[in-house]
Amino acid sequence: MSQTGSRIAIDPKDGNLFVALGTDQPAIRFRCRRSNRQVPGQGDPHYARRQAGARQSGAWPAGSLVDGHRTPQGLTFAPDGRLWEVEHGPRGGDELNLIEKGKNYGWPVIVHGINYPGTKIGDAIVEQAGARAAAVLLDRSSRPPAWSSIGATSFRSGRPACWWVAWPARRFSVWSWPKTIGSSTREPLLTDLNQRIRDVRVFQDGAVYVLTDRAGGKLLKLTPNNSQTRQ
Amino acid sequence: MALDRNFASNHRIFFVYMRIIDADNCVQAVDSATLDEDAGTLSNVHTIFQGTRSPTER
Repeated sequence: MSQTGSRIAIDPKDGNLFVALGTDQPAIRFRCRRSNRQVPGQGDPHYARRQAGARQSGAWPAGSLVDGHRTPQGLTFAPDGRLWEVEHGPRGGDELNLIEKGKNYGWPVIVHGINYPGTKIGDAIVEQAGARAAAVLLDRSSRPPAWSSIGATSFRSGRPACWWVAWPARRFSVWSWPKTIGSSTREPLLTDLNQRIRDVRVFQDGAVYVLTDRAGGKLLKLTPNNSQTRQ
Repeated sequence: MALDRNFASNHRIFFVYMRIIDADNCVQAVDSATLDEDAGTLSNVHTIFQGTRSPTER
């Protein structure tokens, strides 16, 4: 199976559906709920090409928002309405991206890191005019399986934050939303869980649910009281 | 998977998955459906997005 990655997110403002597609179709597309809604992107000369393989269906017209993603593993709207994406990159190149319409996020031309066997990727270009840089370049090969936040608040700081999972190390962290490229702080949580975390969701009331996939996997609910967990 | 904004009343969900279309190809698809939590079933399933073919093996 090709490693494409794919996530969906619904804009809490208007209910539009956003779909992040991976390696084979590296883009974030969106679908408007109403068929009479103007679809941004239709004036784009590349729109027809992008849509050539995507089946139109019913009252959900589609448009491409951005290009250049490798393996999206998280897609969510921040409390301020901005759309964020996190992706599993090559070795050493996982990214947290602020999605801005019309931008190209580089893959497979602009890359951070190397192939997992250790070989160079293409010409190893790390920046190029016209390509959007990652907001945060994550730890080497954190391989994020999930990422979520809607109206989230950091337990410790009380500020809006995103919730993040790093897979191989079984770490779980709360990140502050980056204000500038490269800036962010994190608060590690569940450091003694010792289970692989598959997903994290933040509900509108602030409850945070964490799903593990080990034999006897659990659905944990995080509460603000010293980040204690319960099933 | 994502819940409709009005899930509490319409029980609508959205989910993305790889759909196998033949022995050599699969596509990414997004479906919407109505979830019956008591019965554990989906109904009113509609595909609202389907990507292009990609090889199942590389």
